[in-house]
Amino acid sequence: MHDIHISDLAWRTTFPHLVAPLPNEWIAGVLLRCDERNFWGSGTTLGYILRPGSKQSAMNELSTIVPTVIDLEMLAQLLSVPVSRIVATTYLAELARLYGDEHLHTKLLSSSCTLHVCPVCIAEERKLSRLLTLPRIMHCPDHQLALVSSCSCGATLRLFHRKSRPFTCYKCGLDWKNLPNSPGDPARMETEQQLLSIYHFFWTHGTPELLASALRLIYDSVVEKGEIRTALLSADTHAISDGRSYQIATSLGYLVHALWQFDLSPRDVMAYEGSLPWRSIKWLTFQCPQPTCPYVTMIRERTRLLDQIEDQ
Amino acid sequence: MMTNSGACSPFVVRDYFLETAFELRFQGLLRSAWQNRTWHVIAALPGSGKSLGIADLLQQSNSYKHTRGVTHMPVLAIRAPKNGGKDSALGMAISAEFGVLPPMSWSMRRSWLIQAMADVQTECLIIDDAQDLNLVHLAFLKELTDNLAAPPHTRQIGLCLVTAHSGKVIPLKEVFSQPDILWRQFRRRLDTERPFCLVQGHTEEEVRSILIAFEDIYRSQFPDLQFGRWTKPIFTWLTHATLDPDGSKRVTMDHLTRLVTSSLRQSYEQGATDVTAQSLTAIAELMTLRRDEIVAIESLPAPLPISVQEVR
Repeated sequence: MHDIHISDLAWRTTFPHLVAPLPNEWIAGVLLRCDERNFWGSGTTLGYILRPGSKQSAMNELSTIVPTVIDLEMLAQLLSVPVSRIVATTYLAELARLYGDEHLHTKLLSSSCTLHVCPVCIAEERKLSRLLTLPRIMHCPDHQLALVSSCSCGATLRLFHRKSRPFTCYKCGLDWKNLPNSPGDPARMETEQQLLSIYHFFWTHGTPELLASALRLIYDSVVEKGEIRTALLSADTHAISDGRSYQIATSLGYLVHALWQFDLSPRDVMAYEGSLPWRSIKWLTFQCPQPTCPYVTMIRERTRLLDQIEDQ
Repeated sequence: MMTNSGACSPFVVRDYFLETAFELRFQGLLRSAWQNRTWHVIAALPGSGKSLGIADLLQQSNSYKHTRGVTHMPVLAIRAPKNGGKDSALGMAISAEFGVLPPMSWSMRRSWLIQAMADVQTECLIIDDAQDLNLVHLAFLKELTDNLAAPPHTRQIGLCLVTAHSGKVIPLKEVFSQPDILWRQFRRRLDTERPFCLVQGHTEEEVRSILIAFEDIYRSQFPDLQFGRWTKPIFTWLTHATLDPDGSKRVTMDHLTRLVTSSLRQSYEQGATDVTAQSLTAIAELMTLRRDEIVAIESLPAPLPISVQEVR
């Protein structure tokens, strides 16, 4: 990252004012900050980097979590930052690693999402955190405040509206930094902290095998406890334009919530990873007749790895 | 005559910017306008080196885009739009200097430009080829600078309208002498002491110092080069009525560079280690007495240095 001198060719291929993504910033926030820094209306940057045929309205439907409508390479060039830093403002890389699929869709993270913001994050850094886009996260983990999804005037917050300034209510013009600060419910915040740590686990260690392991673990837990506390197959099944369908049951948002509901930890998921030949019985109670059971060795090895990860 | 052993490789023209006496005078004016925020019409003969001087000043103007949002552009230099056009043509030319801009209406761009110029702390606006500006452009320039000077920006900027001239007529002088309010206002903004400036070309002594500089520049290709001794005849040739129709008795850099590089090329091809009197005379004659001579192209071009294979 260096200054661009006027004699540099990049001067002509970049926006007048550059913004660099903040740690853990959401791409929609980067776009809004770019609009604001360049004195443009909300959504101007987005309009410029939309892929041909994409509609700007797609962004207000929050497909920005996996922003298939945006040309990320173009945005990186216009802001003179490496593409990897732009990709880091989405969950693209993490979801691709987790699902092993290049054709990602936002429904893999959540079936629906509401725009809600932390007024203090916006006041301090004009930042929309990537974390706040995760399903069931209703509080800002940094400021312990309830997230706000509607303006004091009653209007629902909208990310982009051409006729409004960035980070303001499109109806009354109130800056989002001036939205009311409501302290969060401690119990709820503790729950969300647990959810965030499970998300973090999937983001950092996620693979298709781990995902399969988590699904199997949830299934086995349901069978073991004899009760279904969460709909495994929901009626909320969404058909995608390309003909593929993503069931809410396989979205990471669902998975994380289910794990939390069954009081299952990342450690449990890790232990379930692999093609173990049994079902419905937890490995801790398994009695192997072999004197040197290969599975016990494998489980010990996994436990050692887990301990190492926790130590780190 | 010494022979040039290195003459087997092709002659290489060195395109360096020389800080000549003309450039010192011209850039001195530009710097003064920048420093004191004064307005001038600056005229010089075509081929004097105005555009190169502007480009060099721009290089040294400490303009940069910082990746954290701060852009600094104290000097903004453009070339006047050709073929007339509306005020938007000038606005587009100025805004293009900032880098990539999303499409926006002219009314939006108009106000954006004022905000952007204030934000990047523009201190001087230089318009090259200003003789191509029309009345609409000049009115827009006044509006732009007036808006910058007014609150909230309260930013006075220097303005240099750089024009090519011939004879004693300085472009724009007549326009600003008109009785209309707009032109009286424009005229009032021009510098008190030096509103219209005519930057002169090189005297014989100044030509000598340039030739000596060329000796250094071409030393690697002409080990015995002594250009300085040819100062008098070169000055005489280049102030010939054909090249100096106004009888200014000054030499432009374009004429001087053409004579130097062409005669050096010819001498080099003859294997000489110094410029030859014959080549100097021949080129000088071509530039003056045989300037409008039509050259009949009869022979085939020299074979390409790369082998051409038949495509089967």
